[in-house]
Amino acid sequence: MNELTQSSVKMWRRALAGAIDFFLVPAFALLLMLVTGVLESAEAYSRGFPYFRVFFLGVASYLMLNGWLLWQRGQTLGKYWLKLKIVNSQDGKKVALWKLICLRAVFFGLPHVALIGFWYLVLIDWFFLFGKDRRCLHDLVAGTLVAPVTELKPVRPAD
Amino acid sequence: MKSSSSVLRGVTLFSRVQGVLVLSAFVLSIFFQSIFVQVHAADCEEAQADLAGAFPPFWGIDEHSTRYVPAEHTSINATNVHQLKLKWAYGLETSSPRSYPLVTKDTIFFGDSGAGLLALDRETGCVRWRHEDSEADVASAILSRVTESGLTLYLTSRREGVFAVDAATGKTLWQATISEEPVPLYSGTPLLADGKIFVPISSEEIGLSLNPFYGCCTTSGGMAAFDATTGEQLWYLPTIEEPARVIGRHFFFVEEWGPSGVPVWSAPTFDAETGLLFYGTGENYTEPATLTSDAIFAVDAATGERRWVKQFTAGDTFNMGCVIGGPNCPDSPGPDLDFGAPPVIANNGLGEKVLYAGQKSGHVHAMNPITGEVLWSKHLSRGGYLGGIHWGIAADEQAGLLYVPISDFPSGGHSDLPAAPGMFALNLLDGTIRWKNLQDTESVDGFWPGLSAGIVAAQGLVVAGDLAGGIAAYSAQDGSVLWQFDTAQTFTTVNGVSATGASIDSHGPLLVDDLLIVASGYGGVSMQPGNALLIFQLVEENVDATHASNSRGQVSE
Repeated sequence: MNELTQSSVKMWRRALAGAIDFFLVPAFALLLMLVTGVLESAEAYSRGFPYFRVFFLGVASYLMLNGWLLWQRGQTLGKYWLKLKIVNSQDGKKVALWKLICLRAVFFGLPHVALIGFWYLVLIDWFFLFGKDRRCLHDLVAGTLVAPVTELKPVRPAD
Repeated sequence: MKSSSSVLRGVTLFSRVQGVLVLSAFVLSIFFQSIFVQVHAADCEEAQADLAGAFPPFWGIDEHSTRYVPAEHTSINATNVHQLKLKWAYGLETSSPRSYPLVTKDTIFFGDSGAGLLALDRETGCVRWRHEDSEADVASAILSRVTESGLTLYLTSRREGVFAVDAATGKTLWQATISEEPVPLYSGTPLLADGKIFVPISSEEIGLSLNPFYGCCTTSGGMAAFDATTGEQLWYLPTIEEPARVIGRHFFFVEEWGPSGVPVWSAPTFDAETGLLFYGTGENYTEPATLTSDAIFAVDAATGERRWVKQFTAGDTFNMGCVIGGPNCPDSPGPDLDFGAPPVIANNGLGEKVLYAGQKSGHVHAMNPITGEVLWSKHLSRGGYLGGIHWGIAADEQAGLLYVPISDFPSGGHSDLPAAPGMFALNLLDGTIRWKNLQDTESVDGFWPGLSAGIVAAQGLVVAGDLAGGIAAYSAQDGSVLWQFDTAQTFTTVNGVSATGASIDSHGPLLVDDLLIVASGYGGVSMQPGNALLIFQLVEENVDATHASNSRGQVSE
């Protein structure tokens, strides 16, 4: 498999993994919202639309769904199911959790924001996919690369 | 292998350069779009306005809300109204103008919704100034009061509260909101009297109820009084005094609350003789229904204490969740038959003051203003949650008539009577119909021509706009149409902005001096949006064909 073909497959898998996360996190946020009732009362809307509450719900949902996987394996749920992982672009090793959360995950909400406006921000992020190594802007910022899990050294059965 | 790698790098480099160029062009286009998308009208050479003779002082023309313009304030009457001709048109930024003008010797003040308050030169329409502090949905008529520092304007912004603005400079003097309700909506026009400004309060929960995950509803409508000089809040009277409690759940977690609602959508009416303030209320948003919904309140203007409350439709619980079949809709939703029009005080012809109130049900009620006792009620039409009688009625004491515009826009009316959009004239004494002029709904090619907006009366005539964009002056004598104009068209404007007329709704037309002023186009509540502010003026020896026969409808006596 040459580099170009491999990248094409990776993009398809990345898109599907991204789509899974795109739907899962808001769905979990909805559940969280119902349980906690943070958007249920008039007080939540007293200063206009409660953008901050919605933002914190999104952050909490993202961390609750993906935090452990990101910390342990560099994966979100979508990437786990599509057998992808996030690695350091320099050496292919595990990425520090703070980079995944503070640098990379900041971009996660852009496709959702695009639904209500500022759609060009997500295009800017995706635009960098046209580069040679198929890295989005969030990968460049965090110094990461999305790689197939199959590139990990397989565990050999005991002789 | 090496050469294919070089080609790949070349292609990648090309893609990046191309991408950077596209990205740059894209960002620049957004930047320039954000600069030029706003409408900038030509400014007047002279910003200073002559503020003498500001009119009208109230939404209802006078504190009794009669919407009758006496001869000292307008020269337009039944014999010359046919000479009205379009003087100029101004293209507003909003497509749902929801304001009522204030006119001085040389200036017209008008709210351009989200674009703020405009001060336009009366002759040319150029912009003297634009109020920049309340660029948040000016929703009211523009009121005024002469103070030590000059003329002060008062207006409400739907979410930002009440503003006092210096009429000479357009600077905010004070801004006030109430603290008792978490999501108040300052939708109705306030009333100025006795150094106080009385502000009707409704609630954003009517819209929040559309959200199925919102725990509807806990808030109440009400009336608030502020000191007109300082903006200090003097009192607040909610329409529901009992606190909301949990009455059920949906989706396992979302709590349903009640009682709630009973908003005050429209301007209050004031009787200086008794010191009483009168206003109508809307429906309960959730169960249990209270005794204060769809009612008329009489309140001591000095203290905010209730004198009496008269309910006309009991058990009316409704919110916007019902429109989409959402879970926040009450189990047994009511018909939503608010009082959207301010009550009117007028002499009934026997020297007695009577309080008249028009309801969305298509009813007109006459009450004793001291006791709230109902003197008579008249059911005119089908009604519905958009009226029936929607924004306002008018009283002509000289002719002994109460003018009642009927919309009957198809919106859930359940009465036995058929739809009857048009103008009705009732005897102030007993409510009998003196005449009516019904709109022709069958031959209308386009929008429903109901009379939803507020109306205005003067000597021998009453003027009303319809939801299809027509505006007409009816004879007080027999209801025949003396003049009409179709505003549902595109206008060349003084500010160079394309302006289109459409549904005439909300506050309606104003007669002042030799002018008729009306905003055409109202995109709210499913009506046709537009952005034309139209100024008509009496022109002598007008040979234009605007003097129309009674082609808009049928008159019956």
